[in-house]
Amino acid sequence: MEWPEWFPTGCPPADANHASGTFYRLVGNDPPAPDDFTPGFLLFPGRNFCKRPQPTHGVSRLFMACGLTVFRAKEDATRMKEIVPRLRNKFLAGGELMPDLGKIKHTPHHEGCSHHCWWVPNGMDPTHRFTVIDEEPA
Amino acid sequence: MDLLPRNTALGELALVEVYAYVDIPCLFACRNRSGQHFLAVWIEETADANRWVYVPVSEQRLRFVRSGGIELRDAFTAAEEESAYVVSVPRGQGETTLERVACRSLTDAMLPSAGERLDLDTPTLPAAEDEELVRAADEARREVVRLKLNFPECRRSEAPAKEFADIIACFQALMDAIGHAVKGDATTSGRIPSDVLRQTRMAVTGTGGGSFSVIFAATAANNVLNESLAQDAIAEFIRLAEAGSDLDGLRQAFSRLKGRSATRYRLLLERLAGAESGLDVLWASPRSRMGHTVQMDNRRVVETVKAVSAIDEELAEPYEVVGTLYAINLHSMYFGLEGLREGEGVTGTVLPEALSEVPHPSAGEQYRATVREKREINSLTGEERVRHLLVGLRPLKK
Repeated sequence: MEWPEWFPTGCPPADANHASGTFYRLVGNDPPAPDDFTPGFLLFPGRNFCKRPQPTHGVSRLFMACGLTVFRAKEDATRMKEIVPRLRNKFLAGGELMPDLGKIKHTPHHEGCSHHCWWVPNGMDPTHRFTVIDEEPA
Repeated sequence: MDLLPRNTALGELALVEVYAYVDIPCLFACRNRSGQHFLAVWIEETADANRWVYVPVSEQRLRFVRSGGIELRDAFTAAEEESAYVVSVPRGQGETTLERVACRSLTDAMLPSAGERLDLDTPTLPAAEDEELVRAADEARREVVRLKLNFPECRRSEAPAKEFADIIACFQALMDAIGHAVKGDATTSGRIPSDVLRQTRMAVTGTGGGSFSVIFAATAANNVLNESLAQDAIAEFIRLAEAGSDLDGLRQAFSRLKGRSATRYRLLLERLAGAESGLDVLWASPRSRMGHTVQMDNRRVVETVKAVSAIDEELAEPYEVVGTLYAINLHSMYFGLEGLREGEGVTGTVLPEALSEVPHPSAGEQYRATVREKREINSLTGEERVRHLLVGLRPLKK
């Protein structure tokens, strides 16, 4: 598996698993478009993301910024729309991840949270693997 | 954090905790170098910048927010300072801008939805360290016990007052009952002598975090040999807790401690089970100068209730009442007996074994009744009550 050249050394972390299973992600387009899968590292260029491993899951913010947020639990993804005004107009999309789609790791920020960080390999387009499943954004 | 504003009036910020993360931290707490905390939420993304609302919060308020004590929306609209900051962070290397706004002017589009709360375990009291308690016991030369409780509904270091008060009262009653038995003159009912009560009396000396813990100290200091009745009572209590739900171990313990202790232990455990709490005990004794711990999770508490209930029934000593049966209902298994001696009436539940000699007792007839008492907690009111069980019935003429 080949990773984007802008990934820092050691990313994704060695204990990340091959992507597998049903996950949910908030997207801005229906159907999902490539810009719905842009990691924070590219959205916020030139930022100095923290390299220290985070205590709740052991992954640094730098590595997290290279990945994409997906949730194992649909309700966790939906709840983000309620909590964060910026996400309120997003669509909820579901998709089946396969090993060819990269690596994934459970990265909860608190107990019971189903947040996963998903690192997509070079040249892989995940847009067609996700389908919008809610009708209209709020 | 990388996306935190720099060189602004908010000061040099560092991320404290992330509550919502979607590709970047979306809802989080941060703090500047002077210790001022802010709660921040992502509100808008444009081609040029991202906008956030930052609201200053005290540490106490932040703990309340993270434990779900107040809604996220209210944390922004009803902030202590009544003002918030709209922060625009440019996508590239441009200047971060800051606009101070009144909290009441924040619109729906800038706020979490109504009804949304965080729900995170949040200690709001410092935990009492084991070593500190051992030292305190040694210095004051008196027994110290810490009961750590965990109430599932409470995310902060708080306890529901009613349940907590009941547990405290049950613990003291258990100490009294065990102390009475250890003294060697235990009775199943009636008053415990004031001399015993004085020696087993516990004082609440503090509360602490780490779930919710309450610290007791015996009000009576140990004697010159560093012994006390409270020490003996606590040691027996620890043995009981260590026995868990093991019937043989409990039978052995209660053969010494008698029925009143079994009833009191059962009532304490029932209170804990009812509050869905476990029990974590630390005993610090000046005699051993060491801490002794026992832990029971809620599942073990529930199992132990069953075991102690069985023993409690075995140990309950029946007594006889002679009188006129004025009410008997074999469908509801209710009975009422008016004693021949004044004030000896009793009402309660008929157990099947009571009918072995007289399968169809008649109201108005006189009987010699064998009755057993069972102390229970009313599940509706939480009050303690005594239930009378009719275990034997013989016609008076025989």
